[in-house]
Amino acid sequence: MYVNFSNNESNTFDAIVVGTGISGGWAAKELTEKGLKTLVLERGRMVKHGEYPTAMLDDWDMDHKGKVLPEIIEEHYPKQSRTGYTIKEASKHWFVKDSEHPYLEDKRFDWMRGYHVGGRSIMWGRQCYRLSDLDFEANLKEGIGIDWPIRYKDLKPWYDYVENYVGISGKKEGLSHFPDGPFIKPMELNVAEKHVIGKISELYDDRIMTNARIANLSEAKERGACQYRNRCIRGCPFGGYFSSVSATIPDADRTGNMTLRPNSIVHSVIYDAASGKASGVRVIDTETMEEHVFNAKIIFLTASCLGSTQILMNSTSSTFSEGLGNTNGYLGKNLMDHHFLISASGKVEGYEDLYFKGRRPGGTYIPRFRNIDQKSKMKDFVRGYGFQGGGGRGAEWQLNVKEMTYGRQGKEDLFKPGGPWTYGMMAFGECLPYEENRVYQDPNEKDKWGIPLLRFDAEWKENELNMRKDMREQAVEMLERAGLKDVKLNDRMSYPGLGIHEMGTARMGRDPKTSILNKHNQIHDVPNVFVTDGAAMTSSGCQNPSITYMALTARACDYAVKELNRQNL
Amino acid sequence: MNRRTAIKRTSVIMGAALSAGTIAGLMAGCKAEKKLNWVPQFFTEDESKTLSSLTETILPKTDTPGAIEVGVPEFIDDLIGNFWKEKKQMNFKSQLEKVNSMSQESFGKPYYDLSEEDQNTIMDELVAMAKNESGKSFFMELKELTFSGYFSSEIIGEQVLNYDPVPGVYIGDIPVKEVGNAWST
Repeated sequence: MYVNFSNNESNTFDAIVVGTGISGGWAAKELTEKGLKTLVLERGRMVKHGEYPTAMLDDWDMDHKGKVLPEIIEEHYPKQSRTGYTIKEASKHWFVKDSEHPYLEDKRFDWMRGYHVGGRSIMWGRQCYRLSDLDFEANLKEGIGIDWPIRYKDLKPWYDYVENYVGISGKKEGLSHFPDGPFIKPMELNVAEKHVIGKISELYDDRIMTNARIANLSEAKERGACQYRNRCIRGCPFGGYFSSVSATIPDADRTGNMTLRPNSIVHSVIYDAASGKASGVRVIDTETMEEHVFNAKIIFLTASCLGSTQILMNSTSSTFSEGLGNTNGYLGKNLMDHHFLISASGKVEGYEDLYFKGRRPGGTYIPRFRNIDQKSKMKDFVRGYGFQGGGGRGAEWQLNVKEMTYGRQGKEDLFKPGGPWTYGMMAFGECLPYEENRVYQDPNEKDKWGIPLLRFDAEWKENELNMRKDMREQAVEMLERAGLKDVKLNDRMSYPGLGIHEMGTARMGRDPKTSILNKHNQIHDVPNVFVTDGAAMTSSGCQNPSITYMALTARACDYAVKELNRQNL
Repeated sequence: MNRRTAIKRTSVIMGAALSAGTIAGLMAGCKAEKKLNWVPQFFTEDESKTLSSLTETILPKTDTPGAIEVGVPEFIDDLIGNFWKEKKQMNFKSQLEKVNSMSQESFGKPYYDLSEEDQNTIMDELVAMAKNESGKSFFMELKELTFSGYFSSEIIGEQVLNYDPVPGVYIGDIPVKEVGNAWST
């Protein structure tokens, strides 16, 4: 069923999909459902839905209450641990060991990733916000980077299509720059969140706060409903959220058209100068170290922004000495990510007789409100940012621990719900495309499979730094005006990569001179190779991008199969 | 099936019929054996005895378990021994030694051999010192470690706090009185 390891496997397929993360899962599902015999390659290990070893564990079931020893972090996860929350016993098996998968930094870049079937779709943040024409038109209007070759109307049907399948809990708001979708019912908010939403709506007419739009099921679909455990990062045995392993890969498998091959690193795409197309891929089996060649009519590179970029860079030929499709030198440039880690939180007064039940994934969202019209224009930065937030209430012991008391007196009260309701929110901001923010192959160092290591050279610039000032001010101002007490600002520097929204290194565009991909995510110069992950992004927006990759992938698959049938590929 | 697992399953069946305190009391019987088997990995035996008694002074056994029976001293031994930097470790050890010299001075015995009343007298001194300290005092350090180990322990997490591993629902405005104790995870 899933894996075809036989030695006499036929090496020729209709399609090859590289990667099984959120984009690769979609490519696998769409192409196999359209009848293509599809080889799906994953560089990491096999994972099937349900194989989530820590999903049912409590902290006390794990060594060191779930903390990973410092010497293990130092040896294997010095970079992957930079998030602060991922390298725990509960989730570290979803992240690569830096000791096995190194990369190099001219400037600090936090490249967070996991190599296994499902990729980062297992531990993604699950927030889903569409881009709008505010985003698609921005580069053109402001003369920044290059124009997107598509507009919202091109992607809208595909957002609808993927969202219907994924299941997005959310609330319609009717804002043109924050497009609605076919949402299932939003997840319930608590009294603190409702309080803040009410105040924002009362005090501001230029912005709203709404329910998070999140790929967790508020009601059962083909998969089970969210059980409100908030342990998504471990994988959900209930299928309560969308991932490749819970949804797209099993559906692709059901068609009978998929051959899934884990432990298969794509070394490069093979270019055939005679036909002007790619003929297949060169694969290294990580278990045997043997090299295999697989052929197909079309190839989808969906190995993540940097994964796909690395493969393209390594796919050199006499026609493409600088990497497949890279005749203009733009491959690896315009690397983007969202900047964040600016947050504010405070106490919500009242509601002391109320509490909550359940641990809900996701909370509230404030869509972008800067530079959306003439009135909201900012003088020292372009674009904008959104806020993800949430509220809650703790227990007496969490207050008591700060007091200089001890002993029997009041001990039984420690177990009670207590303290004030609190609410906090964090900003996620757009990053502009800059040619000089780039990733490139190190000229000397290679990994153990002989593939040159990636080296990063990217930084936030004036626009991002000016935006961060406004994020800080607005975070505090909104909560203070909403009447929260003891509002505290938490401002940590965020380095590129840590948003885990890498984008832009093989961007889409209208002109083959300044872009790698066309409006169908097709490499301009190699029409049977499609790149539909974050690499394709022409600008970053400030929205969590996965839903856009899904829509781009489904759209490109539809086009690719039509072109195949027209015998154009 | 060991006694602990048996009780865990029984308590699930009996559910709310047993009070948190009763269940924890039953559980405590099991943990006492474990305590005998506990071999400190970082602290000396003497330091461990002092540390154990200090945590028990902060969270003594009442209707609900004390720090020792839920494994707080083991937790702190693991945390400090495996996760702290050497300078901080040594400082903590010297603080334990200081507690014992204060105890010797006032009562002629190490802290762990004192009566609860005398232990409280020493703890009051630690609190008084803490109030005059600008940085993080030993008392606050100790209290945080004790609380952190206690409220993340299996017994408190599953039997005393409100354990709800699969809530199945989210309610954002449930009356406090319908909830009982705070949620555990």
